[in-house]
Amino acid sequence: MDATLSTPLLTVEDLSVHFMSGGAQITPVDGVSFSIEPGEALGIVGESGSGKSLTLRAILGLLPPGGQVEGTLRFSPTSETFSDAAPEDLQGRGVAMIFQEPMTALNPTMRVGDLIAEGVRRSEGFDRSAARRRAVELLRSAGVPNPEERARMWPHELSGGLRQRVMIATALSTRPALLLCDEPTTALDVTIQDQILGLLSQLRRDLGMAIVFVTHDLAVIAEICDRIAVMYAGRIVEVGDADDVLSVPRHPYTAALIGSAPSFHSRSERLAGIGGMPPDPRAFPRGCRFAPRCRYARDDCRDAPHRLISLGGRETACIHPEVLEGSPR
Amino acid sequence: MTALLEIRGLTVRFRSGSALVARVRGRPAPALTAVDGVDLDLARGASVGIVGESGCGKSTLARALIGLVPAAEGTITFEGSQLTGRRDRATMRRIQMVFQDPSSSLNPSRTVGQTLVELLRVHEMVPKDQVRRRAGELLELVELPPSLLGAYPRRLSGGQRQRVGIARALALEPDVLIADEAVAALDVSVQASVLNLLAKLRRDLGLTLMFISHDLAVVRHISERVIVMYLGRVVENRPTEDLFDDPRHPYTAALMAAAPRLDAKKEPGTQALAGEPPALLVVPSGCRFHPRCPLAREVCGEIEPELTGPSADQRAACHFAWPRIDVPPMGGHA
Amino acid sequence: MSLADDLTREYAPSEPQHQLMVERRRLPRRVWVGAAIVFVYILVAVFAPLLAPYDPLALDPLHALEDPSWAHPIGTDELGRDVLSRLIFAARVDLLVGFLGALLPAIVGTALGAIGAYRGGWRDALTMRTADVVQAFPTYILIIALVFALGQGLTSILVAFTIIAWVAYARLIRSEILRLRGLDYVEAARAAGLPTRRILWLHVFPNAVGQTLVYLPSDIVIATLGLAALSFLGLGVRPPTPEWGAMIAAGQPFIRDQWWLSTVPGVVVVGFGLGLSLIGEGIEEWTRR
Repeated sequence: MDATLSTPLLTVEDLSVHFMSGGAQITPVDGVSFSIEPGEALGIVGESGSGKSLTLRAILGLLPPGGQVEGTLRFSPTSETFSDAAPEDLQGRGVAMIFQEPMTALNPTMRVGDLIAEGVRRSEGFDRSAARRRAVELLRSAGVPNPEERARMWPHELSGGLRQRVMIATALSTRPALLLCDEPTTALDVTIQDQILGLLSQLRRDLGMAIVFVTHDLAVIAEICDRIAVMYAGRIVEVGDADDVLSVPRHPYTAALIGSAPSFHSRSERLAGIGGMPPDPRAFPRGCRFAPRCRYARDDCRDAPHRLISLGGRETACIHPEVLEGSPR
Repeated sequence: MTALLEIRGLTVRFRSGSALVARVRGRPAPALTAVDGVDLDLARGASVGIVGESGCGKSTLARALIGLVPAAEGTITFEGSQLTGRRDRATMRRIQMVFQDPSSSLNPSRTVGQTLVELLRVHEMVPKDQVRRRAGELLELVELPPSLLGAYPRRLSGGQRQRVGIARALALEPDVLIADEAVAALDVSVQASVLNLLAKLRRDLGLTLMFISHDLAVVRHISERVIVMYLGRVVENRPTEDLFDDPRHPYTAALMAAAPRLDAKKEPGTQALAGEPPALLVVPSGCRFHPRCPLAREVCGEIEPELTGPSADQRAACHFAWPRIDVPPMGGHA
Repeated sequence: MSLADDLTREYAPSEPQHQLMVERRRLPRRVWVGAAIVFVYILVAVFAPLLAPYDPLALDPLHALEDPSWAHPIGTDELGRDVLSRLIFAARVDLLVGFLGALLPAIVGTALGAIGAYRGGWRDALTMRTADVVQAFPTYILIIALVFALGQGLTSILVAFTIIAWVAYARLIRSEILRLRGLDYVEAARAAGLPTRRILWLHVFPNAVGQTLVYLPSDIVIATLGLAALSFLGLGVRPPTPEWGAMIAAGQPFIRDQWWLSTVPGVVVVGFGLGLSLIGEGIEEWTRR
């Protein structure tokens, strides 16, 4: 590691999202903190109810009605500037987002080229024909074959993979330094997913773009992310280098997730599922939220305050990571 | 030994435009051939996985087996007798299905108990006074407490609903259970327990299991034989270990190469197949995969390869799948 | 740890979840408020002979157009009849036509629409094309023409309403059934060999009927107002039968000096509509679980 002090591209500190539900406040994202360096790929993995999608949306202020955000965001696209940002400020200013369902994420009443051109005009102030030319270029850089023809098509005329590329082209139109990806390949066939992941990696290399990739699929994160953050019940429970965390997990939940996934490589007799269900956000347990389902839980786990402890190059919220030592991966 | 289920030349078509307009124009009615001449054998007690991407026809194949969609051509033979378009209730009992989407696979306005009891009653599975008890037994079979009989689906988690879906399928005591992407919509930890349950039920009840999925790793875990489909045809049909160790069809190889893996580092996109599967309305000539195939040669665009191989157990539909010595020479090729 | 142990906690519903489920099943308060209002109207209609102080048809030309007094709380009309008594008895006609004028089309339209949508094919085509033809005509003109042709009277009015209004119900149920028809649980029922009619009426229909129930109260209002409009045009019930719309029309020439003759029946109609609207809104809220 070199000694120059590099400013992280995005720093998220103590991010929380609140909703009111039937008179009580629920907090599906509870004090999440992380940072991303320029050009880095961070993966956020979790199952349903972990709060991973909401975290991403909170960064851009795209919450469902009734959602309130708390916490600090710092976004520094160039190494000099340093701004304290409110989520909505980041929209269209170097942070872009792509979504999971290409079917619903594109406006069905606009031709694809016009959709992108509108974004271009807004962020770069081009005139109409210049914006259209730029839209075609963007489609080309997103790997769309015959971009001039495709620009004139309607979203419903395109396949899932093409729509996802259109979404990527739209996201690129604002020249983002950071691309937020909310399960963009979950709904795609595996061969198309491979193409899109390849495209995202290539764009990272060519444009120096950082990405935050939210998914439930550990293998996808292993493939394209440098670092990984594991979320459970609204909190980050482990974060570190992707290869490290996935080969030597230091949180029982991470280990359990890895153990549940059927391995390509070999066939095991039984997959280790995780007993129980994720906790209801209206009634999170005290202390470690995974303790009720954790096979290694001890008494002090139920009172443990949530803190990320540095351990061997990564951080874990488990106060007894030693229980995982020696267990086969 | 005859297979439990024999499928020969199964073809399923859907109308894709106005038949009336086509007739007026003097053209054949436009149709989408979702399943095109599929041959398959399912041995009793076997566990077969059907793998493919969207548009390959695997779900349609399942629905044709269940009797939900009619076969335009071909035959389905179950225990020696042919299944026709109109099946009687007793026959329909023998093949049942577990569906993908836990949020729509149960009637929201009925409790779990009501759903199960109705099936038991209509098919007279047990005497009337034992129906409720049997429903409780079915829930225990899928490792749920009988107290859930009174629950509405919205009170259950995704994993619980899938278990109820399995209980519903098992209520009719079928011989064949088809799982159509039954775990695709579940979290990975829940998926694991449902897969374990299916394996256990298969062992304990002697079920014949047909597992449809797009996820190769899952199929590998639960199936003894894998059938790969592409654009309505079977392209490879081999025992699981053989297929994964040594895929013989380029599409199978591409699927395996494209799948992200936890255990092996892989560069994204380098194995990527070009383009997308063509729309079913415009099926490529010759081998359907040839426009995207990295190994395609001239013959691939002209002659459609047969599903063939060294034995009935090991078959692939590619001109270059097997070394020449194993395959009888095909006429007219270099 | 055995598999069963693994799952020991998976199915225990947590407390808050249970509470939420109970909450959702309760009807919102406004349904009860609306129902109370409508119930009062129904009571008035049923017990009209007991409640009305005078015979609604009793003429008394010497005491025509009197101001409201203790003897006649809403005065008398141009033929000396007690307005209050007429108002009370009019409830019978208006409520009858209102409820039946919505219920009959609902039954016809829903049945045709449901069968057509679920079975598809020629049944669906026939129903929908007939609906298109009916909808092609301007509504009130068609109603007027039908009433004219069938002769004045309640039966003709109800027949005319049914012929026109079934279309909305058919379309409403059709869109819901088309949506539900493709759902997995319906396919599962088919795969289990359940008879078609059973699946349609016991599995699909109960989940499809929500929108219809929301629409029904507002259609009752429309039917009542439709009758009032017809009476206004002289095509409604035959005089001297009291009917709210007819009373509004009859009071029109006297709007300057005896404004209550038109206004009070108008307010009564609005009150009825308000009660029904509250019910309809409440049901909509409830179905939006």
